[in-house]
Amino acid sequence: MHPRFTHDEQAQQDFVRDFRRYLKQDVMPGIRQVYDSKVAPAHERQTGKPFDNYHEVRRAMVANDYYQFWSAMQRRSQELMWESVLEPTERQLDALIAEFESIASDNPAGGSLELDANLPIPRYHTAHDIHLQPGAYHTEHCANDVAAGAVYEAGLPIYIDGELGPDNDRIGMALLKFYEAEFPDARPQKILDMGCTVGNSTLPWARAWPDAEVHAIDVAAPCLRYAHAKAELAGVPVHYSQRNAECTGYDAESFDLVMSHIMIHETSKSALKNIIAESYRLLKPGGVMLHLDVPRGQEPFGQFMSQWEVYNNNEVFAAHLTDVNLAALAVSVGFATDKARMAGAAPYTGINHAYNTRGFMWPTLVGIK
Amino acid sequence: MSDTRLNRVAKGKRPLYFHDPATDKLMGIVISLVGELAVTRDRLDALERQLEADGKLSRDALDSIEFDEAATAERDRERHDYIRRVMRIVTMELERPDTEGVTDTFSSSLAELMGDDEGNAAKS
Repeated sequence: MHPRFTHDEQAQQDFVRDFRRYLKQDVMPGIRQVYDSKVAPAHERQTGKPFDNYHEVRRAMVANDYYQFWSAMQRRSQELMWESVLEPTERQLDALIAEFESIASDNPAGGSLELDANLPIPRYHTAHDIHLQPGAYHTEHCANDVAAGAVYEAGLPIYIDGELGPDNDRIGMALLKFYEAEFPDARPQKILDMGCTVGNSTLPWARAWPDAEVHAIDVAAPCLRYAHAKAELAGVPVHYSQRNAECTGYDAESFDLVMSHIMIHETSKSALKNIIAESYRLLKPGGVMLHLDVPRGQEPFGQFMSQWEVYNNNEVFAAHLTDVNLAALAVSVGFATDKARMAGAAPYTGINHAYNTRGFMWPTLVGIK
Repeated sequence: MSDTRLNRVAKGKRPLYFHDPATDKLMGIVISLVGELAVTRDRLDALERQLEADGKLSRDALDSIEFDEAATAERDRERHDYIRRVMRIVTMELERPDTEGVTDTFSSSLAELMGDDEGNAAKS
């Protein structure tokens, strides 16, 4: 299900990957230096006190020319990244769709795909194309379109410099290892992965628990078609279904484990509460909820840097997340006070996250019903 | 080849990074060109490796190639012309002193074309 790349297309992708690596390794560390040596002291001189919050930091930093240059180049690299995988995908789209249709009719692994053409796509997906992927996850260009899934899967290794591994599955592996360590006696029979996109984080769970019934949902049909083909090709049965995590339509108390991988920052404030409430509703008593997401930063500068994605990468609805107490939100929808907490899931292998190069952990909301 | 066309541009407003939107666009073009050059360099490298594998070229020989006087002169001339072409924007006004710079608002030319010999349009 992967588009093939010509020499020059591959070279274009290699350039974007290396350019982003250069920005991260050579240019980005300088932002902290500029902040410490110029921007923060100037603010203290002018106001008599240090920066109080990331909003203040942002107002000062966007006027700094070093930051402006990095930010403009980072934005450009993101645009070129999608461009570099879009064009080969477009060229081979008919063949990719034919491959999907063939796999879906054979269904060799015994999984399933259930699409709902009438499912409304939420505004947090349609208002802006998330992280600048043209057409985002959901846009359909033709019948049985798989383009968004193929573009996303091909873009991911460039996006984070291969740190998700050859199968793009290391976030799923990280959460799986966290779950196994935290709940060593758990034997989940029914698992739900919310916001699964191409199922790259779903597959490790289905492999680890071959006797469990693994379901995965997303609102985006082109990603689900791609995910289904990918899973069937891998010989891993997963039941993919086009549903909204806010209101899935599954029976109450029907899952042992409900989770998501870097999904919640791509929702909205109201959707987030709905999703956690829906997670609670779906869990059997004793069942576990895990929502893993990207770090939001610990102090004003780190928070400001994590907010770059909000203002420059169309992750607009993540703006509120920095200020949300997820554990308290979980308690507000029904989890017992001592059964909801934030934890850190260690990366499956070393990860050099853009804003957290040392001691990186995936912030994870854990809830037990 | 598929007939379906995918969007090239993401939905959502593009932030302004510099004081002048033109700088943002120039930055975008420059980064694209850096990318195109990277692709060309990779292509050239692939070409050399393929030729060497086919026994048509020795890259060591290419690195130590010496040009005769005529070839050196021709290469120097082409490089010189290339630099002048690429950098023309810098020297335009020197090449055409009669244009009096490149910041003409065309008001004087317009006034002339409109038959206003006093050049009033230029002063407004």
